Formats: sequence, structure tokens, C-alpha cells
Amino acid sequence: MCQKSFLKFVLVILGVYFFWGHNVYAIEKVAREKTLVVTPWSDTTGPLKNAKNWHIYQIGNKNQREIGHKTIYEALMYTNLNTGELVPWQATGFKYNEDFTTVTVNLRPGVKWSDGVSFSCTDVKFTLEMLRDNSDLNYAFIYQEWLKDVVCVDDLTVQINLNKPGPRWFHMNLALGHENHQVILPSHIWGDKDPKTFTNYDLEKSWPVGTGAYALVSSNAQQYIFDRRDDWWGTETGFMDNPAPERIILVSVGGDESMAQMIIADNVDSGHPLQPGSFKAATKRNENIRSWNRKGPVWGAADGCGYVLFMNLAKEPWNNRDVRLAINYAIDRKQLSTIGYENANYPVVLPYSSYMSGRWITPATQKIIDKYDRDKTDHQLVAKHMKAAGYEKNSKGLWSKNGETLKVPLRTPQWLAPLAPPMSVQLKKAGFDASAVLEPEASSAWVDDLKVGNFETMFMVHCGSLGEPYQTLKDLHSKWSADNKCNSPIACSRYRNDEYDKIIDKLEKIPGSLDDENYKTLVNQAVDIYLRDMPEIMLLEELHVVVYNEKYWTNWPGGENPYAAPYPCWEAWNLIVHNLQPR
Amino acid sequence: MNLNYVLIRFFQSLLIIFIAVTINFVIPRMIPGDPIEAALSTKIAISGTVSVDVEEMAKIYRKKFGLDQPYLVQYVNYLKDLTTFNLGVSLVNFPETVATQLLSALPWTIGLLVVSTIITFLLGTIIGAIIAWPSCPKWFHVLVIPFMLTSTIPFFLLGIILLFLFSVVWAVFPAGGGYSPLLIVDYDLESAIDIAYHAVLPSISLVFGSLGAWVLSMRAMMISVQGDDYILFAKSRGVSPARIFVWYCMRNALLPQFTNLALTLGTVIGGAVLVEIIFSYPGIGSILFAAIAGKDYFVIQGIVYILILSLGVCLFLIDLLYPLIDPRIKYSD
Repeated sequence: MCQKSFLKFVLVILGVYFFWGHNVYAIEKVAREKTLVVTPWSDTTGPLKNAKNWHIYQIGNKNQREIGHKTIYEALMYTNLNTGELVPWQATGFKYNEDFTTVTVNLRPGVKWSDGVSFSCTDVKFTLEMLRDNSDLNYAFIYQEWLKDVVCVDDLTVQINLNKPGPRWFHMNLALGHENHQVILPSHIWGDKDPKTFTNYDLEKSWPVGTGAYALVSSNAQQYIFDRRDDWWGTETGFMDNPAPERIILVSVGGDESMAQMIIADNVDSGHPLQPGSFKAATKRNENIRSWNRKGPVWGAADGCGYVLFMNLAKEPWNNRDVRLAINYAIDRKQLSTIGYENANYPVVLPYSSYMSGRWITPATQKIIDKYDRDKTDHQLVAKHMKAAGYEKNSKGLWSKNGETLKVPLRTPQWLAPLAPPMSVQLKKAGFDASAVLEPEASSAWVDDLKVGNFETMFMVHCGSLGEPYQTLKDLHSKWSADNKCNSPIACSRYRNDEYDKIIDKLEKIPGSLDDENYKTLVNQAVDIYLRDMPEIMLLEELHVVVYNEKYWTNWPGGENPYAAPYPCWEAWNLIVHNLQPR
Repeated sequence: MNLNYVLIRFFQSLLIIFIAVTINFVIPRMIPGDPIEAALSTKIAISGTVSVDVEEMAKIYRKKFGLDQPYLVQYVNYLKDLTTFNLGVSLVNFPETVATQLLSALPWTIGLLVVSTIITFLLGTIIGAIIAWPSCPKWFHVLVIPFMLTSTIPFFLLGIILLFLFSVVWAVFPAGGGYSPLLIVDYDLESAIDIAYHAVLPSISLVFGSLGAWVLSMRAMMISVQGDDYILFAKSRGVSPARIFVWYCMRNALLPQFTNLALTLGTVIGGAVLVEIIFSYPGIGSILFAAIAGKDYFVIQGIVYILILSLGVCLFLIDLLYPLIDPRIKYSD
């Protein structure tokens, strides 16, 4: 055969192959209206990572957080953070012993792994002890500190023994439905594998294996595809019907603008949040787009955090209560929301989020809030407190002492940038020598400085307000900044108050409950000290404009139907998958 | 080919690459702050946890990634790894390797940028040659004006305008991505069409954003070449205008264009960061941007290393191939 003929032959073969197609993966097409398309949360942009590695406990592997929790892996229990209600799932309940050192968990009969093997206590024991015994796995630090061992009373009864009393331990780690991405792994798959190197990925073997209603059928850097399993244990046991979406696809997103474009074009259903301005522009172009609230200006949903101004209480003049109060009364929180966030946030004075403030700001607590009345702008009060601190206004109208003005450098990590300019102006108007100091985009020097106390004031977030007051009030305990070093960015104020510490120590030992008068009394004592001393200045509740596209799917959770918290990276998003309905 | 010249150029290239990779090692480490502690602290803060000793955890991870070693030891290990193309693992997305990230993104970047660059080269060269030719029709000169105007607009701004008009307002082209979310990518016609469809807007912004430079440089070279003696001689011998245009003028004017093309192709691996971000295109540029924001040292180093290598190799090859393109150029001792 001559060269030209051979070349023609090859071209024809390639053309036929190309034209007719060859589906390597044999994945069937599913109509758009039966497919749920989501993107990762805002902290993950660009191509998807670790597509061929489903070891969800390896450091840096975010697959569980981005999509695993909505598809393959389920939790023992979830919490609807909006109401505090527990939602039993793989487990039906749990109970502590008297001193909170043992929690007994009852597993639900009939739960199965996707390969048909029964889910049992053996799996729970294997997973938790694996995390305890391997220090370089994600969440290992929790189990090394807390877990003594796990005992299987029988296949469905798990006894978790703790090293010390942990009245909140089970809920916070295995039932919260939040960023606690600790789920149980199948011991029959993992038991003989090296937890340091096992990738848990082999589509031919249908790995990863989970109890969830979906199975992974394809994953690459642009998309992960999960198909609904018709043999999900929930339908077999009568626990629940199969979720409506037949397929879930995770696609990558470039950022705010990219998400806006994709959701306007109906290419995605939910995922990356939008800035308030982008959201309003997007809704003008696509009426199917909505957020947590159907009407503004407060569109977004709470995330358990609040924006806060830290002052370094280990340094002068921030260790002076009058100075802190003066700064507080110079701030107009409502204006910060208007200028910085287009009125999309609520002012707050306590580190309480909307997830619990409705329940926990009791009449007694409200009385304390009203007594101190910290959420107001009053330059007369500024003057009163500054004079009490020994300051006088100089010829330029700036507060000064011993010839030096009181400088307030408002150090600001990039993602909190909207707060700095308006507050800087507010403080200047009140006579403070304030300046907005924005950290460079890629710099994390502020983390180091926060940790070692090399700062004056800094904007931060105070997170963790998900179910009870202790969760955030505890962060002002002096033990978190011993030797002037702090471990977590949310506990770096360096506040020292023995009376406050004793209250927190007592709260630590008892579970949070609105039925416990002792707990409520202790909380109010702590709140009183907090508002009296203002060791940090809470500003606004942090809200995010989560987005939903109702073109193909309805029954999203919202202010009118808060059956689950809406954050795509939180474990309880699985409840949303099971509640969505086709339009 | 002069062997001495080749060897000298080879070692010069190696030296340039060595200096460049050293700078590549130093610069990411000059960004303030510790990436490991920053990533851990942020993660822990989000979950409302205070009881973990971040410093202790960070020590474990620094040891894991070799970042607990003195800079000199890190540098030596870095050079050793580069010789074996071991680009390390991603700090932020451990355990994914840098090579995995690059390999998944390279086809997209190369596909988009190589095609766009070649289209720009061909269009720019032909248009530049035509408008420099004295017999060029007047209507062609008018046609060129829009091209020149779009070339003054930065290509990323052009991308935003195109995206707004053709994806948001008129919904003619997709809003971003390498292919449709629902597409099951395979070696078939449907995938090829879908991928090409998604590449239209990014390609247009790249082509029109840089076309003007190619047109102007070709035009300048053509004008310069037309005044040479051999052109006059060819005309006096009765050679046809078309042949003079293509074989005498264009061929000689193309030399700087080829140099420029080789240099441009040498840098395509780095991606067009802004265009890829605007169009959410899954190329190297997107990964580089995310790596800089997350201070993922190893990914930054890996991408820049590949860029250095590709540019160095391209320059070396140009030097060797030039005498073949232009016989007037000879190697000398």
C-alpha cells in the first residue's frame, strides 16, 4: 500500500472513531432537569484538586468538604443549626454517662455501605481509633486529645470512652452538621490499608465506598460526577425516599464574577456565594436566582461568625477599659454595614450568631444588653471615657496624652477590607488618630503577629456561635493566650479576668441547655462581665449571600423554610439534597 | 553547524536557567508570613476551635514538606528534585502533586494559547504584509482600523467586554469553563465541538488583544525589505508582483516574526492568567493565581520552572535553527 493510501486509511479510521465517539467511561447522559450542578465554596477556586484521591482525612484533601458530604459519605447525625434540632441519620441517638466521660451511640439498623456490607460499630471503632493513632491525619489532634478508646457493646451499640469530661464532644464532632467533616469509613475496605498513603480511589472497584445515596462515577480537575444509587439503604429500610436529583456534578468556579456568569446562564444551581452587588445584578438578569432571604437588603444567611475588632489587651492603652469603651462609642455599626456591605449585615454586640441568638438572648440577657447599651454612637461618651483614661484633645482635635496622640492602626486582613475605611473615618471624627492598614493580598504575616501579640488592633472574625453561648464566650478565657501567645486567631485578645475564667470553667463542665437554670445564670454572669469590660468589640454578624437557582430545583432552605443551614461546605447540606424537588 | 558554537550556547542556556530557578526559589519565600500556619489558623478559626496547638501542628507539617530545614538545605534539595522533574506536592492541596495539577491544566493552556498564538501570527503576518504592499486596495486599509483599535485594549479587558456582551447580554457563548458542566468529556465529536465552543471567547480576546503588534511589526519589516536592491533587481528582471510579494518580500520580512513566534510559544505554558481567570478556563494561569493567593510555594515554583525551561529551550532552538531559515547567517568561531 503506498504512503498516500495508508495515510488516507488512517485518517478515515480516526474520523470514524472520532465521529461515532468512544465513551471510555460508559457514563450515560442525564437530562439537565434531573441533574444538580454545584460548585465549591468561595475559598476553593480554579481547577478541582485531588480528583484521584479520596482519602478524605489526608491534610489538604478537601473532597469531603466540597462534595463528599452531599454524596458519598453520611454522618451519624446532623443538626439543623437554625433550630438546634438534631437530625438522626446513621445513628438514632446518643447518651452520656454521669460525668460525661463516656457517650453511648445507638446505630440505626439496616444502614449499609454502597457495596452491600452492613454498617456497624466495627466501622466506628476503626475510624475513630485510626484518627487517634495517626497524628498527621486531619482531625487527629481532636482524637489524640479526647479519645481513650471505642468499645463495641454489639454491632449497633458504640461506647466511646473519652480521656476527660466532654459534655459537648459527640455533638461538636460527630453530629453538628457544620465544618466537622468527621465521618465513618468502611473498615472492611480500609482495615488492611496504610492510612498514610491509601488513595481510596478505584472506579472499577466502585471506590470510594460510602453509605450515601450517590456513587462517584467520574472525577477530573474540571468536574466530579456522582450518580444516584437505587440500592441506597434509606429506601430499603423505609427511612427516606431516594433524593430527587439523579446526578450531582461538582464543577470548578473562578470566583465571584465567574459564579455570577454561570448562575445567570443556568449552568449551576448553587455553590459559591455572591457579593451583595453581584447578587443584585444577577437577579436582574435571571429571576430564578434567590438567596436565603427572598427580599433584601439582608439577603444572606448566618455562618456562625461575627466581625470583631480585636485590641491587644496585653499592651497599653488597650488594657485600659475606658479606652476600649471610647472606641466602641465612636463606632457606628449600622454605617459600617451600609458602606462596607450594602446594608447586608446586622449590628451585634455579643459574639452570638442568628443560629442561637433567637433562643439564647433571653429576657434576662436582653436586660444586661440594655443596661450597658453598647450599640450606639455617642461622642459625649467617647469624651467621658477618654478623659477618664487621662486623655485630652490637642490643638488638632486628636486625643492625646503626654504629648502623644492615641494612634489606632486598624490592621485588616484582605477578606475584611470593607470594614477598615469606614471605621477609620468614624474614629477620626471622634478624635482618634486612626488609619486603615490593609494587609497585602498574599500575606499571612498578620497570623504570626496575632499569635505573638505584635499588633495594636486588628479586624478578625469571632466564629463558633452555632448552638450555645459557651461556644464563643469560652474564647475570652485567659488560658488561650497564656504567655502572651495564642493558638487560634479567634482567641487572641489576651483578656485576663479570673472571675470570668471561673465562670467559663464551670460552663465547660455542663452541657448547654435552655432547661438548665444554672447554665443560663452562668452565661448571664459571663455576658455581664463581657459587656462591662468589652475585651473585644463585636461589630456585625457575618452573613454570606448563598445563592440558589430555582430554574430546575425548588424547596431550597431559606428564611421562610429553614430546614437546614445553607452553606455548601457544611456537612448538613446532605439534608438539602434529600429535600430538593424538581421544578 | 559549528559544534563549538552549539556547546557554548548550550552551557549559556544552562547558566541562564540556573540563575532563573534560583530566583524562582527565593521569591516565594520572601512573601511575609508562614503559609502553613496561616492555612491551619484560618481553617481552625472557621470551625470555632481554640484548643488546638497550631504551632505544634505546623511543625509536623513543615517537617513533612521539608520546610523545617535551613534554606540552604531546602535549596539543594530543590535543585536535586528539579533534575529529576520532581516538582513536589501542593502545600495547600496535599497530597496532590504539582505535576498532577500541571498535567491536568497543560492541555487546556497549550490548546488555547498555541492555537490563539498561531492564529494571531498568521493573521497579523498576512494583514501586515498586505497593508505594506503598494498595490493594497484602499478598502483594506479601512478594514484594518478596527483591528488596531482592539489591540490597544488590554486583552483581559477585552475578555470582560466580550463575556458581558456574548454570554450575559446576548447569551450566544458560554459564560466560562473549559466545557459544559453536563458534558461527559471523551474523544468524540461532541466533546470536540463543546470544547471549541467554550474556547471561542477566550481565543478572540487573546487574538484581537495582540493582533495589532504582529500587524505593525510585519508592516515595518515589509516596508524595510521593499527598499532593498534585490527587490529592484527582481522587478527589473520581470518577476511577477505576486512572486516578489510572497517569495522575495514576505519571506525575508518573516524572520523577526518567526523569532517573535518562537518566543511567544515558549511562554504559552505560563498561560494567560487574567484571561483564564475571567473565563474560568482550567489552565495553568488559574492554578498559578490560586497558588500565589494561597502561598503554595511548590506549585508556584513548579509552574515557573516549567516556564523557564520552555523559554530556555525555545531560545536555544531558535539560535540553532536561524541559519537554516536565513542562509545569510553563519556560525563563526
